[in-house]
Amino acid sequence: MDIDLIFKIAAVGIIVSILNQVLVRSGREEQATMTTLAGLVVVLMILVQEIADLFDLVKRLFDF
Amino acid sequence: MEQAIQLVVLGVLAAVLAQIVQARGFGPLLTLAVCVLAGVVAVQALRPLLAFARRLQQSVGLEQSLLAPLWKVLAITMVSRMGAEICRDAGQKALGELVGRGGEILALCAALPLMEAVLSLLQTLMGGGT
Repeated sequence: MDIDLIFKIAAVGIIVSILNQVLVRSGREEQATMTTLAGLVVVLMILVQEIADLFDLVKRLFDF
Repeated sequence: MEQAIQLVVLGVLAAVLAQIVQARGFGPLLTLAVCVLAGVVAVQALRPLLAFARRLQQSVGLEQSLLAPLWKVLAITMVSRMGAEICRDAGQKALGELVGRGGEILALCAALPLMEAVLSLLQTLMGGGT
């Protein structure tokens, strides 16, 4: 089981939260929003491969 | 047993981490990741059960076409249920409902050959086969 994935996502979430706070406090709301969005996209890119693997496994195992 | 413990640890850890990163919308993504990992573990654990069922089917002499819809229904139910619950967790109840109901309908469609086989068997038994 690739438990590193969970820590990776949590780390990205925490880093994005900190960056967001710093940018909001310094009056750069737009950049803060963009940072959050970029973080979400990065996590989604990591997740897409795992989801595809799960669906492939289900397809193979259940004779689809 | 080790896999069960791994699943419990994974779930609890992800629940705690999801609370930390909830504020910026990373909670649902973390939940999705854990669901995918736990799904892979669960499906891998199903492998010996499926192999046993196939061996049983071969020894009894059942046709593959009779059991195939059963596996399809099982797979569709697992995937659609997971998707529906993730949507509900993300606060999208309507989407969750849609995914859940869609999965049920698709599972029924996958089970259609089985129902047709039962119908034709009944017709044969009653002597009115068409």
